[in-house]
Amino acid sequence: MADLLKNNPKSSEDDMKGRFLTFQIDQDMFGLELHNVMEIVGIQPITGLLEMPDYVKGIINLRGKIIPVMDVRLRFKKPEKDYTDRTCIIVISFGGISIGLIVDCVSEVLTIPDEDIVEKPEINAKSSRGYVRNIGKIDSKVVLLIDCEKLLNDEDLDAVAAQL
Amino acid sequence: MKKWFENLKISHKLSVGFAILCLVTVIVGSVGLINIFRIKIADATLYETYTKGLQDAGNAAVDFQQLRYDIYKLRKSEGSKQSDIDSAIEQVEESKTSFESHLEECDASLSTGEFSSQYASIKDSWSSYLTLLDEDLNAAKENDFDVLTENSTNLGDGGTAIRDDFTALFDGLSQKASEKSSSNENLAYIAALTIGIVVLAGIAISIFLSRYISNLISKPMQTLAKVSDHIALGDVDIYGIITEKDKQVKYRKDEIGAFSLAFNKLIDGTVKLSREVETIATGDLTAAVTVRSEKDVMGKAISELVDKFHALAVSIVSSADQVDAGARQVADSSTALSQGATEQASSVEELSASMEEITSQTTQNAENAQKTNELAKTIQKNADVSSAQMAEMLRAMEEINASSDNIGKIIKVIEDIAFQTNILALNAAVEAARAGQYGKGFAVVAEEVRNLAGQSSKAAKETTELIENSIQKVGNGTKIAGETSAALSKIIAGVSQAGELVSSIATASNEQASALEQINQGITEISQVVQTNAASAEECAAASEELSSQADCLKENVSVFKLNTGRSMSAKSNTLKNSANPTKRMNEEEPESQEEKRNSKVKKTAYKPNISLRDGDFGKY
Repeated sequence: MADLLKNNPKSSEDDMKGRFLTFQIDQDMFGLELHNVMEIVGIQPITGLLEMPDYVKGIINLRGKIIPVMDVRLRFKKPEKDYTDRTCIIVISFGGISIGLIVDCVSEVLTIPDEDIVEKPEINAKSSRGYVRNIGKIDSKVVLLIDCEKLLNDEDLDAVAAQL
Repeated sequence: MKKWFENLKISHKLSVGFAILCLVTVIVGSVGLINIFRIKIADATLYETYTKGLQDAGNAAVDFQQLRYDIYKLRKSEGSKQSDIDSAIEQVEESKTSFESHLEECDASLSTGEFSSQYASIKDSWSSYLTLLDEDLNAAKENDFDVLTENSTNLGDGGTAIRDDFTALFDGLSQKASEKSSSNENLAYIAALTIGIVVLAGIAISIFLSRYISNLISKPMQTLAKVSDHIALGDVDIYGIITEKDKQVKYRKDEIGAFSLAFNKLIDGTVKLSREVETIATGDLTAAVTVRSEKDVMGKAISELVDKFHALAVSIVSSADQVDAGARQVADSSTALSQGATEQASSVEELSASMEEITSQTTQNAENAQKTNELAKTIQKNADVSSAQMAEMLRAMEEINASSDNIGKIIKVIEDIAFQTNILALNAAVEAARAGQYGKGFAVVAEEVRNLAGQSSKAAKETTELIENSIQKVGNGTKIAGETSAALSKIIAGVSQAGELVSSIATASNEQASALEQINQGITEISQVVQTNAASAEECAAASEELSSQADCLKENVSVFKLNTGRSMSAKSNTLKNSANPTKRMNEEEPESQEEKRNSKVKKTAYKPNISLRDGDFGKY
């Protein structure tokens, strides 16, 4: 990562486009657009909310701000894992809605040039609810770039927003 | 006749005898009475006819004489006083009356009979006299004494004739009387004689009858008494006492006959039974015991006794046989035993020798085991020492581990720091990205911090790796140490086990040795016992021989008795058994003579008739 940034100092100075925060869930690397990311914090005590979907774990108090948190694993229909001290909460903000994503671990900030971003192959129309917008390639690895809009603008989340 | 009399009952006999006696008495009596009556009659006749006639005639004669006198007086009273004449007439009339009355009396006695003619003549004479008398009387009454004088001669003649008649009558009467008297005497004499004879005859008859009847009764009774005496003494040899005549007694139909018959049956039965028992006493148990009736207590008892004795003898024989067989078996067994004992003795000798070897081996074993035991103890001690050292080593490694863990913890702290720093760096990068252009310197700083975090992280990782390596190695070491320790423990365990085993071997060997001692003792004892057994077997054989001989003796003793076992105790009995036939024996009605004749030894039967088959019968086939 460091040499990548060294190699492309300009892109780091530039804007946040093409810059993704990667996190890992199991073996899959996901990427979030950096301009959606507010901050990253370690795991904190979560206060559970009632009448919420199960992937919405609850809310946290982040320096006075109440932010709902969502478990990405559950969101992606993966089996739940216990939270370690490596578990982070990525606070993203989209359309005025802040939400925390509980992820297993945060990797780094990556700059992925456009040429390395490709469209998702269409297997079937219903796959993973279109969270993954496209796919980025880094060396030999594959990063699934998440569409925050899709992630956030779900009918389930409307309820969350309504609550808050 | 005699038979009929003999067949009368005794009471009848006696009655007959007494009746005869009675008859004799009656005869005697009647003879006597007849004779007395005859004498009486004769006497009466004498009297009536003669004496009385004589008397009457005498009276009449006297009266006649009186009359004649009176007549004379009357005649002479001629010329006397009237009163004298009257009295004389009266007197004459009186005398006449009395004479007539006496004559009437004579009438009674003399009018009939042998003097009737004379009497008739007297009466005639009297009637003629009477006429004259009456004339006289009448004349006298008229005092016509001339008549009297006229008639006096006629009267006198008449009177004399009458007187002569009377005298003749008297003579005749008295002669007749004396004749009669003497004939009466004769009669009496004859009567006496007759009576005497009859009495004597009666005596003779009664004597004879009494003798006869008493003999009839007493002779058989005597014989019976004699026989009873003999039987009472148990002497059954009584047939000599009984004569042929005695034998006929029983055919009589009186009580004696009945008694004799019964007694004959009794003595026959008794004699028979005695003879049978005698036969049985000689040893022939096959002899039949006649049971005379359902109620024959003795016969049944003896029969039962003989049965039981027979059964006993048979069982004794069979028992003796069995004993014999058993004794023979025992003898054989004893011989076998003796042989076995001998073999046993030799085997025991061999065993003893083997035992010696084993003992020496065992002693050796015990010593070796002892040594091994001590060695094992030593090894154990050493193993313990190494075990302790191992433990120490493990402890040291534990400590290494512990410190490694500590280091690990610290490293973890460092890692955490690195992580947090990373997060910080990311946040910084995010803020820097947000800040855009103004955040470039911050971005650089963030980058550097990130690098730093990365380096720390790397270092921490490396250190962690090293620590892990170290821990791994320590773990290996521990593992190896553990294994070694385990191996040592196993060794120790094995050694201690071996030690235990060896000590147990040692004790076992010791015990073995002592056991062998005991076995040796036991073998010695066995040897002795075997010797004893051999001796006992010998004795047993001898005893069985003795037993066998005793059994033979017993059989011999019992062979005195002839039995129906189908096996011949003696040839005699066998022949007899085969020759006789089983017959029915109900001895109630058989007369005595037939019983005496049947004297063979027949199969013994029960009281109830049964046809029995014996084993001996089949011997023929």
